[in-house]
Amino acid sequence: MKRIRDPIHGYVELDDEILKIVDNEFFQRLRYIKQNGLAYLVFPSANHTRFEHSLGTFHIASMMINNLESKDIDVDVMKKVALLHDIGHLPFSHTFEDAMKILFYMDNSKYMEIMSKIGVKTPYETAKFHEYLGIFILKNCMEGLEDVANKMEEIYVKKKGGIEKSLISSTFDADRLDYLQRDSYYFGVRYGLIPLDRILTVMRINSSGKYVFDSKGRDDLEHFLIARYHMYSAVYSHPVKGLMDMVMAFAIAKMIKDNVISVEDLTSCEKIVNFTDDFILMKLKENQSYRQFYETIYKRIKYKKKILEDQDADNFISKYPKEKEKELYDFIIRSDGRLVIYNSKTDMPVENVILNIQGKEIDLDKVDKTKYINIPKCRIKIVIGYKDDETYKEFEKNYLSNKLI
Amino acid sequence: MYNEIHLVLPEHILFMISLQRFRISSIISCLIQKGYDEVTAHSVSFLLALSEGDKDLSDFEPTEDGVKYTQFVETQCFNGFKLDLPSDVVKSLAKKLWIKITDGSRGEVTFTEEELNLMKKLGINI
Repeated sequence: MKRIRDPIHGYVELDDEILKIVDNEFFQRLRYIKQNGLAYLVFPSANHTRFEHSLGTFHIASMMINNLESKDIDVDVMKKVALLHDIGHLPFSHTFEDAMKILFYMDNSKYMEIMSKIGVKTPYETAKFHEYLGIFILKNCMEGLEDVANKMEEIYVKKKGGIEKSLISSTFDADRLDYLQRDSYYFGVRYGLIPLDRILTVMRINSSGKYVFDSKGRDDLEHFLIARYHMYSAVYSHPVKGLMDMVMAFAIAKMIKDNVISVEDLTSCEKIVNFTDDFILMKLKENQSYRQFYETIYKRIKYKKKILEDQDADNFISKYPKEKEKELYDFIIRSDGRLVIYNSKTDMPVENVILNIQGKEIDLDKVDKTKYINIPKCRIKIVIGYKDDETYKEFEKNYLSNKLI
Repeated sequence: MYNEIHLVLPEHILFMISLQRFRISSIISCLIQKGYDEVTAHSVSFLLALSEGDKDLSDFEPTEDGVKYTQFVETQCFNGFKLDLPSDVVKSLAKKLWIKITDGSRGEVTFTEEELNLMKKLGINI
């Protein structure tokens, strides 16, 4: 047994079997993947990584499993799923997934080649890129974790419900219970602070995988949801952080297209193990073709920005026709990253929750939730970042009306 | 410093990245306004996503009797919705298509005549 110090949970205890996984080089790789992409350019202390978040998620999942009324799950496998849930994250975490979205339009054949090589055989994707890659790594690069990979496939790809999904991929899962606290701590904000011990006391997971709160836990339920809401609104959706991530996403997509990042870098076990944030930053520094991205990130030569919020943003995107999506991506790609767009939606998803009020169970999925808990209005934000007025004017001329103020 | 200008909404619309969320939410809002129950509205949005050729279905998940869009956000219904679809067929077809897509070669499902007709009507060919 090993006890590891953690600023959020005090000690995280790892038995020998878990410790062996933690010491594996693929898990160690997570030390070099920032939890929140380029957030540290806006929040300087946000330098924490997927490594400690994975340990924290394991810690919370273990506590949740101990609290389960029905342990009709494979406890060992589920603890490993919690530990390994982010094993497939690539440099800058979700920013890499944005890069893949751009690559889809920038170089579709390369995109399809990557997906095929990590085992996504159907033309449809029902999981996130890092979830698919995580399953691939567990099956192909690490030994003895086939059962964990299969369980992750059930939870993330097939999305089979029940207790297991509630532990790791739903409203009150161990993942969220860790990252809200951890991100608050490292970002230097207080929005995400939640009383974990209290939540684990007033909440139970029933045999169907629903989170059940008694009346006395209703405020804790709301507190958690509002904490998450403000973390998204004020921190994760910060406009400058969003633009920086989009600039990096564009640069990564371009590097894949140009073979500066090879398909093997993200699909072969030998290469993946060294594919970290540093790898990308080094390529940015070395290669003159990416100078404008390098300067944006290292010299803070900034993008100008225009913002749509609330009703304007809602009106803007709700009308957006699918047929035009490719046309817009083509424009962004032609602009060579001189114009990028970031959008965010902050709302309060409440799924899988039952309120037990005076012995009467109310499944919030089946009623008007607003009658039972306070839910703030959805906030939508669109940020258009551009390097020069000429590029923006072309964008405006082609894609915006002349109704600007 | 950054240069901030706030815009009013444009007449014709374009945007990138995650737009699917808003497009699908708008469809669901239209259907709910039209009187469909939530499960049916979400299941229709899944069928329409398939019919429009969306490849990214990562924000959908199966429910007991249909398919749900997990990123739904209440939004405006802009374009209306003209199709009149039978709820039971919509829900069962969505669930079967989910299984067919996610279970690969093991995802063998048998469609009823009504479900096959609906697939044809929507142009879904999986």
